[in-house]
Amino acid sequence: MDLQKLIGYDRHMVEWTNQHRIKSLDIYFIAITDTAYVTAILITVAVWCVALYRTKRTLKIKAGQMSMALISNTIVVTLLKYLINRQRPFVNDPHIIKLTSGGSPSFPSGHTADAFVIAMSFSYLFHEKIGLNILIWLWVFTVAYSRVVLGVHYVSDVFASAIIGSIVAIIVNIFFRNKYHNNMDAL
Amino acid sequence: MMQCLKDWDIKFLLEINKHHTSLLDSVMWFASETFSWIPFYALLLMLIIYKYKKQSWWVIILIIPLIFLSDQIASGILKPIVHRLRPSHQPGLRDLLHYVNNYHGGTYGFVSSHACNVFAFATYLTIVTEQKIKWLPYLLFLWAMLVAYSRIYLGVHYPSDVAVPAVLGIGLGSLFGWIFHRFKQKIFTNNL
Repeated sequence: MDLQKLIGYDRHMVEWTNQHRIKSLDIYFIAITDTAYVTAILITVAVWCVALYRTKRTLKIKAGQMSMALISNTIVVTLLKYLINRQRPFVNDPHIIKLTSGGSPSFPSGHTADAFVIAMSFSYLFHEKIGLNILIWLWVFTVAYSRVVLGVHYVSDVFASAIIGSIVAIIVNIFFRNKYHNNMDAL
Repeated sequence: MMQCLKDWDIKFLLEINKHHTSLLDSVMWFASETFSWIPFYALLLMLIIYKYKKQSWWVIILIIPLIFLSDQIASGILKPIVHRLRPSHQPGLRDLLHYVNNYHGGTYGFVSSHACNVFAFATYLTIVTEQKIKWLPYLLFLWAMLVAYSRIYLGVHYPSDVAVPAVLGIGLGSLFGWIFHRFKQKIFTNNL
């Protein structure tokens, strides 16, 4: 299959999703998209708050790991965006309606990558908290879907972001892995 | 007397509103937005929890009724009762002002709930944290004054709309600071 055909599919998927959206849900998707980055930070802040409240060293390192993951992810995504410099779907396609802000280059999706890096880190660090994990992952997929349905990202941007976010979370986790010991909070 | 005060009010408003640059426009717009201070609140929250640990919940939980009350007094009670038009809605004055992003605010402007909230919040935290975080008041009152100034700068409040709730907010913050200390010992028997 040649590249041109794939790009075509990519565009048609955004176009179809954008045109067949349920219009009454628009405001919710716009709200989810606009608060995505803030929510990612707030999840990290919440972990910091719990860690400082309970004065647990393990939790503080976990909060530090989540902050590091978020910062590294922002740097990686911004670099990639301006290196690849792909145009947004609504720029070339008049059928796609742009419903939220999107000024920077398209590839990869920053919102989705932020959501993924936080969710992956959270799942690594707090795998015993099943309810919270389900909530966070629901939020992540809503963010990813909202980017496409609002016409500001191609499906491939979102998929790439999912992979990039996950890889960043895994790499940061490798650096932090040996910092956790059993009985660290026994003192 | 009243007329003299009103004249001064308008004079100050025009003087503040007149000195605008595009950089100041965006700074003041940022300062007036509710959501732009979320990082600031998050850092404050973390600082308080870091300093007070297990006792921090008592510091934080009082902020909710404090802000609720100050917001309601300003926007729910005083604005509809006093019925003072904002400068941005005042005939004769509204065309003389410079606006940012075409923002004019609601109809009535006395008193500014922005100013009331920030001063109540700053006073409360100053009283509560006076023993543990000594540098915090400087930051908080600078922030409060910036927000209050931005309301005048944007042309949606007279200086008196901001000065009166500042006093009101300081009073309200002191009241909650008193409540904080009054019940602190009862809640934490092993003292701070």
